[in-house]
Amino acid sequence: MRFSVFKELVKQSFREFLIYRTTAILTVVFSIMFYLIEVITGIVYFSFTDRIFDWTRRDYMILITTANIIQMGYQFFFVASHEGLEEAVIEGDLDYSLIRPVNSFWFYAFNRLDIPSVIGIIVSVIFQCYFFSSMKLSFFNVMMYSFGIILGIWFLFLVNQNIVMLSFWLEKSGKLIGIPEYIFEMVSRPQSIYPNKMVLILTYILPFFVSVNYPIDALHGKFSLSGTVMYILYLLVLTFITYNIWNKGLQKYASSN
Amino acid sequence: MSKCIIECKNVCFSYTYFEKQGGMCGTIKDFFGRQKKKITAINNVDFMVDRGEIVCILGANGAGKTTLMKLLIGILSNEKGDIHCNGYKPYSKDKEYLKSIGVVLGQKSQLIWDLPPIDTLKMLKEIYEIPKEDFEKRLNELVNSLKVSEKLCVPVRKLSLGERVKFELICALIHKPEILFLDEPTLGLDIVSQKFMYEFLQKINRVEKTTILFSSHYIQDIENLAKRVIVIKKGSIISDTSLSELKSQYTDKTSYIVETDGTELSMSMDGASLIKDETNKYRIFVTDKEPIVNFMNLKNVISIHKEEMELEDILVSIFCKE
Amino acid sequence: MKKYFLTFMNRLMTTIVYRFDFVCGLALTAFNVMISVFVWNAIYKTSTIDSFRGYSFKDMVVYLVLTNISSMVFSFDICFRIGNMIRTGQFSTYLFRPINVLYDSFFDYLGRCFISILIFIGTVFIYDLYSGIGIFDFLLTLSYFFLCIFLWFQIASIISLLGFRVIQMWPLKPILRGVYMLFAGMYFPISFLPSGFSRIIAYNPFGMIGCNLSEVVMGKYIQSKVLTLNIYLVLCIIVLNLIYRVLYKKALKLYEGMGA
Repeated sequence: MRFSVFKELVKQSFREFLIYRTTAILTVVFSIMFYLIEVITGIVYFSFTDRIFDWTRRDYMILITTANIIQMGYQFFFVASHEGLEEAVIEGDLDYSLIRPVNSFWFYAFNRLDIPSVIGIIVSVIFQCYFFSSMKLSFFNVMMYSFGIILGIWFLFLVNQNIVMLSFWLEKSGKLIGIPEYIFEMVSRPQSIYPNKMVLILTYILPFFVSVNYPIDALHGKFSLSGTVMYILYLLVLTFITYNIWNKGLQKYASSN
Repeated sequence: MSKCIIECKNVCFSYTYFEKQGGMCGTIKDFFGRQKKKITAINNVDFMVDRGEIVCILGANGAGKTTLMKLLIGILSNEKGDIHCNGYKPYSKDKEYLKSIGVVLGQKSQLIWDLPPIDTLKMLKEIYEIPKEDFEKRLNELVNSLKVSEKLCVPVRKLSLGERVKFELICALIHKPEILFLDEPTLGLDIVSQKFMYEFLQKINRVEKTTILFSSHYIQDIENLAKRVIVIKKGSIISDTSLSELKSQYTDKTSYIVETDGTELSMSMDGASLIKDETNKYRIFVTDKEPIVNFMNLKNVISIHKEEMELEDILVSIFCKE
Repeated sequence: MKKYFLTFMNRLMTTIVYRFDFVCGLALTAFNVMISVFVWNAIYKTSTIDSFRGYSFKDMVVYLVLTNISSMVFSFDICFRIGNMIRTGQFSTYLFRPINVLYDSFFDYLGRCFISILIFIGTVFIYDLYSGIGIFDFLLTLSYFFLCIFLWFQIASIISLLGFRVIQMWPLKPILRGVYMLFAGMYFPISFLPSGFSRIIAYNPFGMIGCNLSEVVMGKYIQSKVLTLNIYLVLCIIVLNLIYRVLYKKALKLYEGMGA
C-alpha cells in the first residue's frame, strides 16, 4: 500500500475522530480510567504482600504499563478494522475493499486509526517515565525497549488478525475475538505465578509472554541476540502465514446480499 | 485493441448454506448438527460483450444477476469455466484491471457514512493514483452533470437516497473506467432521479465510450438504457438478444386473458404457457395462430380477451414459465 | 404481552443458533476466573496471613467463580443493541409500531442471558446444597438475584441512551467492561480497596450486582441485611426507571432517523 493512501486514511480517521466528539472524549476519559484500574488493582495486590514471588511493586507496575502501551498501540492502529471485519464478512461489506487497486491486506489492516487511543498511550508513557525515573537506564536500553513495544504491537495485530479471519470460515465467531485480549490480560501479570507448562506454551508456541516481557528484558539489558533474532523470525513467519490465510479467506468469501 | 471487452465461457458458481429447522426443537437439534447444502447460482454461462455496449442482465430476484456481476468484478471466484474482462481474469485482481472498472453495488455503499462524500472521493483519488488537476477537473464535471456540487461537503448520513446514489456513481466514475458495472443502480429511486440517471449514463456511454453492464429487474431501466438484454433464470442464460428482438420474439406470441367460473382451467396446446393471474383469471401465451378455443373446455369459461404484449408482460412470461 | 414473549423466544433461539459464541463466552469466563485464581494463589502463598478481611483462599475462589458467572448475566450487549439501531435508523420501527422500547428491550435482554441465568441459579443451588444453606436463604438469594437483573437492565438502558448522542458506541465496550470490573469487584471484593474508598463505593449499582450478590450467595450477610439490600435494590430500580424516562424523552428529540 502506498504511503499517500495511508496518509489519506489517517486524515479520514482524524476527521471521523472530530465528528465523533462525544465518543472520542468518553473514550479518552475511560481509557485513562482503564489503566488506572490496573494500577489500583496492583496497589490492592501489594497491600497484602511486599513481593509476589520475585516481583516487586515497581516491577509489577512497569509490567502492566508496558502491557497497556502495547494494548493501546494495537488499538490505535488496528482495532477499528478488526472490530468491523466479522460483520463485514457476514454482511458482504468487504466488496468495495476488494475491488480497489491496492493490496487488500494492508488496506484493510490500516483502514482506520483509533485516534483517542493516543491519549491512553501518552498517559501510560508518562507513568512509565515516572517508574523509570528511579532506574539507571541507557539510551540504547530505552531504544530497545521501544523496539520491543513495536514488535509487541505487531504480534498482537497478527494474533488478532488470525482470529478475526476465522469469520471467513465460521459463522458468528464474535466471542473468539476476545481470546487474544484475555490471553494478553493474563500475560500482563508476572509469569512466575503461572504453571510452567502454561508459561512454556505462551513463550515458545504463542509467544504472548515474550511480547510483554521482551521490552522489559531489553530495558534491563537482559535480552540475548539469538532470542531477539528468533522472536523477529517468528513474527516474519507469522506475518507470511497471516497474509496467506487472508488470501485464502478472500477465496472463501462469498458476499451476501 | 480487441472489440470484445467481456468474455464468459461455461462459467459456474455455487453457494454453500445451512438449513435451519424451525421451532424450539429444531433450534436445539440444529445446535448439535447442521446440514450443509449447496445451491447452484450460476450454471454454464456463456456470453460476450463488445466495447461501448450497454448490456442489461435481467432476471427475477435470486436468478443470479448479482452473483454474475460479482464474478465479473472479481469479488467471487468462478468454480468452472473462464472469464476475461478487458484482457484480464477478474479474480486475479490485477491492479490495471481494477483501475479499468467502476462499480456500483445498489445494496451497498462505498461512501463513508459519517463523513462528507468529498472525503471518500479524496481517498479514491489516492487509491486510483489520479493526478490532482485531473481529479479536480473530473470531479467538477461529474458533480455538475449530476447537480450535486453543493452536497459535496454534507455528511453522507444527511443525504437523500437519490443524492447518495449519485455520489456512488461519481465514486465509480471518478477514475474514468472503461467498464462500468452497476448492480441494481436505481433501487429505491424516484422517477425523476431514475430519468436523470438514464440520461447521465447514456451520455457517459456516448462521450467516453464506457461499456456499461447493469443488472436490474425494473422495466424502466431496460427500456431507457439497454440496447442488449441478457435474461438469466436459475443461474442460466435463457435469452441474449437486443431489446427490439426480445420484444418481437415474444410478440410473436399471442396473449389471452381467460376468465372462468371458478373451475380450474386446463388446456392441451403445444407451445402454450398458462399463468394463473387472479382467482378466476388466467393468462395464456400461444405461438400457434390457431384459435385457443379449439384446445380448451369452454363449458366453464365466462370470457376470453386477446391482448397486446407489453415489455412487462414479456418479462412476466419469461420469469414465470417453468 | 405475546409480542414481547416472541421477542424473548426469538432472542433465546438466536443465542442457541450461535452456539459457538455461547460456548466461547463460557470458556472465556472460565479463563478469566483462572487468571484471578493464579494471581490470588501467588499472593496468599507469598503473604504471611491466611485470611484477608474475612476471605480465605477457598472463599476467594468461590467469590471469583460467582462474580464471573454473574457477569455473564450482566453483559453490556444490550447497551449496544439500541445504539446500533439508532445509527442504522432501525430504531424508527419502535416509533411507528405499537411496541414499548423498554419492554421489548427487557425481553430481548432476558432471551439473551436466559441460559446464563440458569447456569447462575444452578451454581447457587449446588453451593447452597454443599454448604447446607436453608431454603429460605436460598429464596432470599434468588429474590436478590432477580432484583439485580431488573437493576442491571435499568442501568444498561440508561447507558444505551448514549446511542442518541454518541454515533459510534463500540469504543465504549472495553471501557465499560473495565469500569464494571473495578466497581463490581471482579478482581477482588470491594472491601479490599482502601477503607475510605470502599465505603463510598460499597453500595454502587455495579457493586450491588457483582460483589454484594456473590457475598449474599456466600452467606456473608445475615438475613435482615439481605432483606434491607433487597429493599435498597427496589428503591434503586424505581429511581433509575424515573431517570431513564426523563432522559429518554430528552434523547428522543435528538433522533433524526437515517438519511434526509
